[in-house]
Amino acid sequence: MQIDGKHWTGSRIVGLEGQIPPPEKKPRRRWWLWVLVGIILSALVVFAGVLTYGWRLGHRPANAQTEIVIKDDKGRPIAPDKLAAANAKLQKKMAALAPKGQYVVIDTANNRVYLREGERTLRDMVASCGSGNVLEDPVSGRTWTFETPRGQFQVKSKVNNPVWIKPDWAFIEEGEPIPKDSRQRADANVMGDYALGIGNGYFLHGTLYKRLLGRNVSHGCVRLGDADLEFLFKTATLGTKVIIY
Amino acid sequence: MRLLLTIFLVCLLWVPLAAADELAELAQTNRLLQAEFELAKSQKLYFVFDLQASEILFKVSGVTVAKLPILSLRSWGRPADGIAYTLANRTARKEPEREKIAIPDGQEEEKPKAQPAPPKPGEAPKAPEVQALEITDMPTEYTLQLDDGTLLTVRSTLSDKADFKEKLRYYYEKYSWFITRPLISISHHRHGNTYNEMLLTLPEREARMLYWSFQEGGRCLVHWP
Repeated sequence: MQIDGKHWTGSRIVGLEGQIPPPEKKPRRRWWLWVLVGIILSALVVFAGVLTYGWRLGHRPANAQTEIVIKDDKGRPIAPDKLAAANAKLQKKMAALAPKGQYVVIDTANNRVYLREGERTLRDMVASCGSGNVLEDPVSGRTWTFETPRGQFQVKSKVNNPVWIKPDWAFIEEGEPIPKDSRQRADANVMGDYALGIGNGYFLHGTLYKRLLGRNVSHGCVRLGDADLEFLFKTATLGTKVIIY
Repeated sequence: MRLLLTIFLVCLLWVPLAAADELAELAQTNRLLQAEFELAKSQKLYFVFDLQASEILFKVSGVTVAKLPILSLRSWGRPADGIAYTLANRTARKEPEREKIAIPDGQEEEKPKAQPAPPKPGEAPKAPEVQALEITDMPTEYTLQLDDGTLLTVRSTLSDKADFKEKLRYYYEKYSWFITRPLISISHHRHGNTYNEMLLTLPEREARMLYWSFQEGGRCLVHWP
């Protein structure tokens, strides 16, 4: 193909060589750019090395340097071939610590009381546990934290128609003077029909404030609804384990 | 013939290796059982972070009373096995505060002229306002420091209602782990210590429950994967 006597080959016109002189290129000094790139790359490599070193420190195998010696509860070394038997024995000893028969579990966070037997839950009950509030007597400086205690307890007493003997904090909380006559401390109308004592003045008992069941409002005792309280009172015997968490 | 010889050699090597693995596992189980037995004898509440099964167990006398699922787990370092740890310190971004009960001052307050009528039979008395420290007041992001310095960092899943700031913090914490933990490890190594941390992601309510129950002085076991 020809255009005005010149060869047309695709996008380039052939035959104009020598008419337009090519622009002279000034040699650019970009050495600083290469130095900068080099520094950045070196820093990245060093940083990656540091991270790898740190990573390896954090993922070293446990007990790599120490010889493992297994001892029994009396401090005697256990032969490796007897480890399986020793483990089975330990598991048996642990199972012996578990409560026998029915036991009560109290979840203070969710305000629930469970009657359980082994791993089975026999009844799920709504309760009110400790509020966690703090009371300070401005006169004596004594403080009380109204929290339900945690751990393992047992039913130590069972009372029909319990009477609450109001402790000092009950009067301080109401801003009333602490009575000198102990008869003025008795209140027969607040604990419901039954109470199960678990020690240190803590009880599982009834409540007047049934619509607050499921909330943390008590002074440390565990409040239950009438039907649940009656069921628990009739089911739990003296010595029944009570686990609180 | 060559193939048979190879299989024979592999079997010869594999049998002692497998036996060694089994022995190490038995030894680990033994150490954990011994430590747990001591805790179970105390009749107090203790916790087992079973990282193999991805769950946290609340136990008393060897009985599991509650079980919390671990949604995801990241661990850095590895403390010794079969040791009963004690919770030394708890830190939360927003610590829950106990409310102090205000005592009514009879002298300043005017007494009501007439006493309110007592509730009729069968009618519930007026309930007071609830002022309590409840599970919803517990934090969902906190760090539990064990007595050997091991950190258990607890986070909950990012809620749908999380704002941009919360999302940014969540993703920063998620991905900065790979940069910050090696640097912290080196820093501890320079001082002759090891740095161990576990990042546990729990559902929101379960994270609050763990904070509620696992208090300073509480004991725990960690079953490493």
